[in-house]
Amino acid sequence: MLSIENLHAGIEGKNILNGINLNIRPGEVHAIMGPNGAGKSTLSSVLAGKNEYTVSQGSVYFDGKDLLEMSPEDRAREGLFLAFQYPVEIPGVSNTNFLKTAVNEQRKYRGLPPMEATDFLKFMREKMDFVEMDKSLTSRSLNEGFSGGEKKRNEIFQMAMLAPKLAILDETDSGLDIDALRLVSNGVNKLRSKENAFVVITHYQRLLDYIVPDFVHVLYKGRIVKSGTAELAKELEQKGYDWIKAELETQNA
Amino acid sequence: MSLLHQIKEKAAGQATSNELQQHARAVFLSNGIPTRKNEEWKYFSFKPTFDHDLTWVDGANQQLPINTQLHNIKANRLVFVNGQLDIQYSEILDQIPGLIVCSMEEASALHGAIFTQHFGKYASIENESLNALNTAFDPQGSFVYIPKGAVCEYPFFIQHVTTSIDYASFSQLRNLWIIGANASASFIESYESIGSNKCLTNVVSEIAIAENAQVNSYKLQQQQAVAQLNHYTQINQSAHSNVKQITVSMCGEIVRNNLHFKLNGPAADCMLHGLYFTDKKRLVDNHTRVDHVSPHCTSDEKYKGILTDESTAVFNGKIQVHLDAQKTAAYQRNQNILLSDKATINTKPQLEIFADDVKCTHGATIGRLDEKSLFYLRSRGIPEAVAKSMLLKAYAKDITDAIDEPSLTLFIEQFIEANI
Repeated sequence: MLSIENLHAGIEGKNILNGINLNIRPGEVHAIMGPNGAGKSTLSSVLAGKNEYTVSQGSVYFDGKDLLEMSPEDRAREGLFLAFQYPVEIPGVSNTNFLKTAVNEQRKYRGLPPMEATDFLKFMREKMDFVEMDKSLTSRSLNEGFSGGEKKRNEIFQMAMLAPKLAILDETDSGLDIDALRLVSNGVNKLRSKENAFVVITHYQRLLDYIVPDFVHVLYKGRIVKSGTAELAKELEQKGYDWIKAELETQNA
Repeated sequence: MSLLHQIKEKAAGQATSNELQQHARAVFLSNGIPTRKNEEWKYFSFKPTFDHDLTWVDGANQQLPINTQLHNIKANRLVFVNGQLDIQYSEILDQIPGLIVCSMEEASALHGAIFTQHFGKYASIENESLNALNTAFDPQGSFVYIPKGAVCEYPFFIQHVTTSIDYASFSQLRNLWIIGANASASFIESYESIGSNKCLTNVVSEIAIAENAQVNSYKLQQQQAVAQLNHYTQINQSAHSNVKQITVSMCGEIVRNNLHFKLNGPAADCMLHGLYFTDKKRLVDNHTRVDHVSPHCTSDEKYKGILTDESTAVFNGKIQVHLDAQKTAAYQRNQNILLSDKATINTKPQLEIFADDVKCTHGATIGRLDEKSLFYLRSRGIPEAVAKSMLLKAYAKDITDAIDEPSLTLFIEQFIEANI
């Protein structure tokens, strides 16, 4: 579904990703872990199409299409979703109107007619229950005055509404209390299917107790230096990242 | 023949016995058209337009198709073409004893006492040459007199159309609205033009608001790309009156607004909000002035602009708090979004405070569309153009939401969607 080959990217002339290789197939959940500054958020930004990042080398194919050639909106309409680490607040744009526009723009791209207002509201209510989202949040401006947990829950709610093929969760767990974490994880688990895939970027192993990944990758200095199963995450939790750094230095020596 | 020359000939040819007109002519002839040397006209002058060969028009010599887009609003409607009332499109719905809604000609002929009591008593002509010009000849435009305690159910919709179909034109319009004590009324004004030749419209509005009256007033300026508009508005408020004035400048080559409030009685409140959209090489200049003469008054000013291409906007907001105006609360904000590197905004707050127990704030911001918000919307599959218009509508929302006429709010939002 997603195939990243030798991806090099950076910002303002500074290289951050130094040759990422990653293959994701439908039905899989990949966790990407790594210390601060390893390039985790850069990877998600490059995949979603943030224009301040430049790709200097490598390729990314999404369902056989060149992802890097696409505008951010086309990536979304092809089925890519990024749950932001820091969702922005947009005063004056209501949550409902925003979602309706997003859903209908995606439908338009796929040649489907726009959803009728009543159908849309019904659909929205269904998905809200699904992530146990407070009904009052939808009538408010997008993320405006939301708590950290509410913002993250809103990201998962949007994901449920847009039903992407591939969802990237960029540190969705950071800053969440245990109840919010459970809600977010339940949301993701309920959405998991044979057809879609997830990339869970996280700092903490804690999230992976709730969303059990098929693969865990360690990102360090802009590269995937180690890959394994869920067990690897547990090992990292116990031992930290230093042993991986040490292992790398011995290899290089 | 230049317009200025025509004006002089007209003044010489049409002698007047009206003292106000005589005085206004003298003031205009001695002061002339303000140039950019005048601080109040720093960024442009109408002088080149007056040197141009524009033909002075009053009235319409043919039936014109009028833009009826906003006629869905149930209103007391007056439609003027070059200052002449077009009866075909006009209607009065409110049946209130003593209510007068008519043209200036009719007001001066049939309601002379009220007319003379108010006309020319509010808008100063001494240092305002273009007001003097407007006052120098017989006025044309709308006259509304709302008696004491009247509650008007329908808004007064005043549509002014100027034409420059066959030749470049000049016209003058005048509005005089008198709102009695405890009365309440809403006004919607629309300034439009038909024709692709250059035109200049010189407008003076005087609005006198008695004690405890409530007025909402919405002004739409949606003239053609070749049209120039100079609009001077003087609003005088008595004690405990409450005014909401929203000015939306959507089009035209040059729009100059002078909006002056005088808060003459204690606890008078005014809200003056504005939205302006400029593109190409167009210019919108908002000069506002609020005179806090009495104590306990509030003025709440907010102007927001969206500028593209090589356009220019000017905001100059003066708040004068007089010596006796203790406990004044005056707020002023001017915010701008520049969508192009070549657009220019000149913004200048001016506070002159002579009282010592007041609360005044002012601020100006200039920025771009927020890249992070734009990316967020696009990352959900919303195309860039749609995302931009969503953000601009959101930016304008606190002003459009303040309009208590849903079809007008919708009209402005649709304009943003279609044009930006």
